[in-house]
Amino acid sequence: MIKNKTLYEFMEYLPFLKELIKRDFKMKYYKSFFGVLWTVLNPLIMAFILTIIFSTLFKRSIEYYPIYNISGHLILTFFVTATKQSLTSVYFHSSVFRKFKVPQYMYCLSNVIIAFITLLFSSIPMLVLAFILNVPLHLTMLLFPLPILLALIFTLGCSLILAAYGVFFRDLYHLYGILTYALNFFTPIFYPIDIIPVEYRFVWDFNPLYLYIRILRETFIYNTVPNEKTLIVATCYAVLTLALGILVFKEKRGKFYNYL
Amino acid sequence: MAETSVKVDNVYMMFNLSKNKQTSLKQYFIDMVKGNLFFDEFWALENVSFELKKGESIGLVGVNGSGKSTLLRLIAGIMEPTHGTIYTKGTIAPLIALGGGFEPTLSARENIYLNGAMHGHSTNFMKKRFDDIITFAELEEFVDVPVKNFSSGMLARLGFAIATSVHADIVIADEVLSVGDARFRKKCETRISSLLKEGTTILYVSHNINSVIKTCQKALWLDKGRVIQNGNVREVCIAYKRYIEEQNRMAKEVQALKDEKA
Repeated sequence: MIKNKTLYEFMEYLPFLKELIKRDFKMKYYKSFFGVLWTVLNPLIMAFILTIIFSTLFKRSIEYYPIYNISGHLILTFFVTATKQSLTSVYFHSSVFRKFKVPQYMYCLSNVIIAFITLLFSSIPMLVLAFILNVPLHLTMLLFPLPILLALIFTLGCSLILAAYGVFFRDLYHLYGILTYALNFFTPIFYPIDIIPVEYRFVWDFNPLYLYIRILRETFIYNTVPNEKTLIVATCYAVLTLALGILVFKEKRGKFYNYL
Repeated sequence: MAETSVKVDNVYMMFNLSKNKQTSLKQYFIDMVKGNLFFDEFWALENVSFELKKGESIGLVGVNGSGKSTLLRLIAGIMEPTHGTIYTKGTIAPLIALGGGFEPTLSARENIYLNGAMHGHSTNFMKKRFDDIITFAELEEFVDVPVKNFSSGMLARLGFAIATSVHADIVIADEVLSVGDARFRKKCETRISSLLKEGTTILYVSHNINSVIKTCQKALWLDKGRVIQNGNVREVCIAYKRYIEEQNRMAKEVQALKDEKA
């Protein structure tokens, strides 16, 4: 019964989500030429810089270093952008929620979807780069949407949790800024995992983002199908986080009115 | 026998004032360690009940801070009551503070669709009503102008036109007819009365007592979250007017006494 009510509400405000996405999309891409260009160039520039700095250092241990780099960068950037924007999404629009019955999570959803579209745009240079660098074509390459989808589900879950708590704790934004900065280094984007001493490696193994990045690299660059255990763990992380996000948001949204 | 459109049953609404202060994680931990996580309860509404049949209109009167807007928001479903139940039948067009929910950088056209979507209407649904909205709001020349360049009167007209052209079963109007010039106000009043004829239920808040008497059949007088009087619009409004005059007279007397002492 309650489930149906939530679903009904979601369907009722689906046009709103569409309008929101349309609006954000227009702001980002239609109205500025640099919007599109930047989305494509940003990961390329990052990969270029990091390749210049680190390629001599890691050349032997990492094959196709620029793609290794860009693939990690894509997923991490998507996660950080989406969650950071979602964190403030509810209380930034408090004036709307004081006057309209719009479900608060819609802003969160639209942020995640816009970031996801950016991710898709940004993955174009990765494909082009793979072509230029002569990465051998193989069938496992077709599996590469899988880790991206899992990352999407995981990000959505995190975004909902952050959006809910962001209403109660306004300083969470600054704290989260530091956290994401640390995440940049705790996720192997520009270095191989081998440089981390074995006794500390469990910290990295806890990082779901690293898991998705690893699956993306294995399928896309290194022609390996990830083993069952990795896949199950990766799926569990994503689904459980989303479930937790929905639960937390549902629990907390009744208390929002005191804070907005 | 008309069917029930809105039913408010023993509604209580509590706000937690202490939590309305600046919220931060840091403060939360400090308060937790100190054992300071107290509640400062404020009851905005206490034991409010009333019922409206389809096609009826009710005016809510009361001084500032008496709980009128809170009650309207509860009926609109923006908040949930702490205790009690609220039953509504059909679609609701909440007109709570006009001009809210507009995106400054978007044009009037885009805002109509966005605003409609905020009320849960699809683009197609709004497309059918688009011309009607623009004509009523008298904004034909400004359809593609960003609304940040609109005057407050233009925004109010647009908001009113959107909310009343979607033919909701219940219209909630909070201080909306006080905007615009006299001619437009007249136009709004005409539209409200034609909505009433169509069977729309209207909840109306205004500090202009004459406008309440003109628009509504019933009235509810709230003071400090409690119902003082509920019934025929004339009786309630006359009693309320008398109360206001009494208050003014008393305030004057107190002032006079103070002046005497000085």
